[in-house]
Amino acid sequence: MKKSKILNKLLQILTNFLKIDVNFGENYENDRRLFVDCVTKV
Amino acid sequence: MTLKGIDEKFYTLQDELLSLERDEKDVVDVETFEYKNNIALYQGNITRLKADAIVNATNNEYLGCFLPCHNCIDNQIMSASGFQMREELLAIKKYKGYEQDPVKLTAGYNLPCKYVFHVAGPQIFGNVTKKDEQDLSMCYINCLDKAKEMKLNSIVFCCISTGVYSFPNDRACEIAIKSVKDWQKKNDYDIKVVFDVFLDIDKELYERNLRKANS
Repeated sequence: MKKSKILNKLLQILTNFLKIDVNFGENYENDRRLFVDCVTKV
Repeated sequence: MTLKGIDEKFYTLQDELLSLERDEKDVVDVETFEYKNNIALYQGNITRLKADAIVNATNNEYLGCFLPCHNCIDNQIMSASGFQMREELLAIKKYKGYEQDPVKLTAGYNLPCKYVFHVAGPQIFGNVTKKDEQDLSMCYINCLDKAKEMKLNSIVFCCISTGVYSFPNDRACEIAIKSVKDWQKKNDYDIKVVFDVFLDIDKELYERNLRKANS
């Protein structure tokens, strides 16, 4: 599976878990930062 | 800080992503380095290094950096290893307490190294005291003792306490090299030690001080 696809799935799981509403899926680097941000917030 | 209740696919997907990123970074095996008196110098990202153990300079909380995308080594290691590392550190805090061991040991998870030794070096406010110097030296000695106890063959040190912890780079470098050299003299144990630096200034300092120490 491509990295961007995996990252999108991870962000879906994390944003559901954190109950936050954010846009993602347009830019890999932004999504990667968002992933780190979400993980840090857990 | 727990992922209790999260979709169980999280860990599988995270590990898949981090292992792809690890492979893209080109893993460097420390066995390929040139050693002089069992010491080598490397400039670059510590998360690329395949070694028995790498040392993470963390804070007194021992749970990893909580500033998202902060450019510190603690954050780099936490981000590349995966969430399991923070969970293991939390478990250590919960079940063993903080004070028991100055070196907190975790697995490397998605890093190429086997283990990560987490140590909190002294933070400098004002002038460097004798105690600060001793505390910094003990970070190196405690890690080497732990590596010996675990019968490890290689260990990679980052520059502990420099940067945001404000220990002057030149003095920190002298202490790091002296501590390792003294430990080698006192311990009949063969272990490869790598000093991993990120900044050019640290590379120059280590090159100069290692030359001096080896002459």
